[in-house]
Amino acid sequence: MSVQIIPLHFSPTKMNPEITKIIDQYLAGELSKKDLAAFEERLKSNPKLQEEVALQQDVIAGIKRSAQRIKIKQTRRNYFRSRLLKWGVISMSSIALVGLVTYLAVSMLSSKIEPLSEELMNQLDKDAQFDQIQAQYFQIPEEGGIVMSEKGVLLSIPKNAFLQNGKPYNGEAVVQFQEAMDAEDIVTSGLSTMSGDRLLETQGMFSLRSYTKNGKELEINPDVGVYAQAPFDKAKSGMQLFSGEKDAGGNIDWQNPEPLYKLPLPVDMSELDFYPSEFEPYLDKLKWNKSKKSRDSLYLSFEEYYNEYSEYPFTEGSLPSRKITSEECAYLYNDNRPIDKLMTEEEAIRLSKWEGNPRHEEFEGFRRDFSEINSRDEDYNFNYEVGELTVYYDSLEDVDVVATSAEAASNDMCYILPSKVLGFWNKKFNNTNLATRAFEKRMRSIHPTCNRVVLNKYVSQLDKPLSEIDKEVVAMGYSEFEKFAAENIGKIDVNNPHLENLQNFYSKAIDQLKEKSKKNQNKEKKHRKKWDKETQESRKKENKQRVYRETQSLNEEYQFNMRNVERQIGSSVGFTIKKAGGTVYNIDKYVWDATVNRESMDRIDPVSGKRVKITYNDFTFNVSNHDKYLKLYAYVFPHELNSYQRIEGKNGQFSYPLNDDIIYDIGVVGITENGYEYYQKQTFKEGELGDISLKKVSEEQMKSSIKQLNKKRKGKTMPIGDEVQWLIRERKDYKEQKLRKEMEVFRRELSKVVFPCVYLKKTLYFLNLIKE
Amino acid sequence: MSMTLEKIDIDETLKSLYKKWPDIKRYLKSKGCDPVDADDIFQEALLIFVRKTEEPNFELTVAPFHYVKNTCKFLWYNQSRKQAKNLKVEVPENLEDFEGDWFAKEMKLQQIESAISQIGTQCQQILQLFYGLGLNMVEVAKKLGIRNRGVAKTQKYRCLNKVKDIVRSNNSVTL
Repeated sequence: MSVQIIPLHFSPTKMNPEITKIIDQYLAGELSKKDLAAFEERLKSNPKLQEEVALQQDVIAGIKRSAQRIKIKQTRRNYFRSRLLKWGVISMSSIALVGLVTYLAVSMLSSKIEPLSEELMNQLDKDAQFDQIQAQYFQIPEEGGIVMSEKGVLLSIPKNAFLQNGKPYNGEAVVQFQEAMDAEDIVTSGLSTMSGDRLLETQGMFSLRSYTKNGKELEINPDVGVYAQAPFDKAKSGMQLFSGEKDAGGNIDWQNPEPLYKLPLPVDMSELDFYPSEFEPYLDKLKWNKSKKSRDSLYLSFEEYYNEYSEYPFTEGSLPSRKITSEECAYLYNDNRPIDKLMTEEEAIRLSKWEGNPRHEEFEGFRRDFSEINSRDEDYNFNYEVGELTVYYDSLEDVDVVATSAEAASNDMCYILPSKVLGFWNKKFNNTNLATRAFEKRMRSIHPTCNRVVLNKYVSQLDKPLSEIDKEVVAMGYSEFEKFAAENIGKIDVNNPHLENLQNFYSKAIDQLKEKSKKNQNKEKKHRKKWDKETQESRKKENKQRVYRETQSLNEEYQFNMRNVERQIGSSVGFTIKKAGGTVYNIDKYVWDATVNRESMDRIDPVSGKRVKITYNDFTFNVSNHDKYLKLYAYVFPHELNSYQRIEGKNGQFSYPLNDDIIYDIGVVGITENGYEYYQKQTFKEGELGDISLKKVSEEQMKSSIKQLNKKRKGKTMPIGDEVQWLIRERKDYKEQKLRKEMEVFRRELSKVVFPCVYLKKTLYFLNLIKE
Repeated sequence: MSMTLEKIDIDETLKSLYKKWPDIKRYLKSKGCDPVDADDIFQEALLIFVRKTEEPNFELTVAPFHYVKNTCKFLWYNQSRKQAKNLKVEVPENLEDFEGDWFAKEMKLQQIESAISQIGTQCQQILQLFYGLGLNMVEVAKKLGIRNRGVAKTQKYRCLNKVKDIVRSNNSVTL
């Protein structure tokens, strides 16, 4: 199409409308070659036209933008719609229900459904049961859905909820819903509240009818049903569901009352908390890892808790078969009341370590095998003191069950194993009675019963309404469940094959969890055993080395002193004159004694008559802030010898006689929980260093400094690598032992939370003691 | 519209962004924005996000929600600055992102959009279907029940003119 360019006359606000068309064609590339050339020519010289083109471009961009906005608005609509539905679901737990039958998985209304036509609604209105009340219509897709009425009645319509000609209806359904929920509605609708000739008190009436898309009426499928939930703050007691029968005069007679059940609200398993009620708060307080996975695994680790500590797999020998004495009781429990029971293995283990016990020797034959590791000379390792943290455990066998109920009378039932809980706390159990807030609430009361039979009742009877199970539990003697029974909570229906699957899954899950727990525990045990073995190896090695070093040192220094004496006498030493009947030591002996005792010697050689002198002078120093060190060692390196000495101070005070004829270097290592501190002084003989302070160094620095001091002496120095390795190992072992101890204390505290009854029993036990 | 290699599912993203609406509302409220304005600002921010993602060289360097929230922050900052309200306005992060030409243009287009909203519904629909969704005139006519494509076309020009007139008069007023 050829367009004739119209002369352009512009006014600032009015524009020739025709120009819009031309610009539009220009922008769309629809102008003919000729027209385009002419237009462009004009555009070049005409700023007004340029402006106009720019404006039109902007307007088109604006239109595009406004079209994009439609999508945003749609999202907004969908959001508010789904929020409305969600609100309905959330409020379920707080409002009473006029309900019947079944509930299936929640599915949202699909937004794809074409809106209902006016005509159909008009046609269906004629069918409405309540004359004066506006009917509401809901379109339910084939897969079912949940909708909420204007007055807040929530309708859950599962798949196959309707029948057509007696067969389940597949397809989109139209639900007509009328409600008279408050007095005003009921009066205006002229609805009667008569049941026969009795007057009913009502909390609301509603009518629900269903149709196909084409307006053919459907029946409610009695096997599936529609679940309705009405918004009352509180159901009046004795409320029942009546079915209305319309008589010829249009009056409704209410018949066939049925009791009302509240349905438990399905919640995703991941949102529920089935731990013992103090478990999470306790861990939160300690700022323990928040993740469900690690908390589950911590909880599961208690599966074997009592086995772990009741077996005492490491003990050997026989424990004294007697009651503990009052001293022993004071030692163990800070209490001097004798306990009226034979000593337990646990007590025996702890008592065997108490050397101040007047009856200590009775424990000689009784030790845990790792006590061998601990029994080595305390000077040369720094075990975490067992006495620092008292840890004791009840073994299950010791504990009588608290008689809070008749059936909890067997030991077997006095605690709920973590696997039993974690076994169903799984998304497989979503949409069952267990995945509900109602059951979560019950679980908080189940833990304190410590009775696995109670838990089993709920877990194994998924097909029963919760309130019935509540009643069974009340019948077992747990009156605290009466309040649950009174709530009249129903059940979430699961079809039977599904139910069977779940039960299978549960028992399998428990087995798996048990296995996992055992595996974890064995892994930990193995790790500890390995660690202890390695520590033991390191100590054995160190022990051997120490003996060798000390012998070597002594020999070397003796040799040195002998050479010294030789120089002083000026002749060779080494022969002895023995006079009968006398105890004349030769000079060797004196030198030997002086070397061993590190004492000065000053005497006349009986052979040469010359004076011989060996001088030892005390060398002392104090390490400031000695409290912060787990251990303090000073390594003394004599320049003239190949060996070295390790000396240990007391309360930071070191004192060591040095040979006056030898020049020394010294390195002081302080071991702290977090690392090493170090001090060194080179080339000195005797005297007082006074107070010295150590400086923080890395493990590597400590290692190389010591090694360097050792090496720089003349001669072939004794290797010190193993010694340093031992030091490092000891520090690590200290930390490991401390960690274990802390872990044990943590677990002991937490076990009170996990197994409340066991510790309740313990408390009661001691309370009784005090009463006596 | 440009094609990007990794096209985010904009519908899903919008849906999940809308779930955060209460957070945005709370946030804007805390900055002195009333709920009605907050609603507008949030939608505007979402629109800007959608349009930004369609830019050829656009690369999202932060989470969509973060982007949207920051845009809201800016829009409210901008609006309250214009209204000269002394409010608890927080200067948004990456302010320079919002100071460029692209953003100025967006603000201009927003004005034009408000002009579009002043014309008749059918007019709006014609323009949106044709320019926005790219339907041809036959489809537009069919969709809106207009007799034929010629009538629809004439109407289209008339509608365009209406918008242009409103924009022009708005501009002359502000000038």
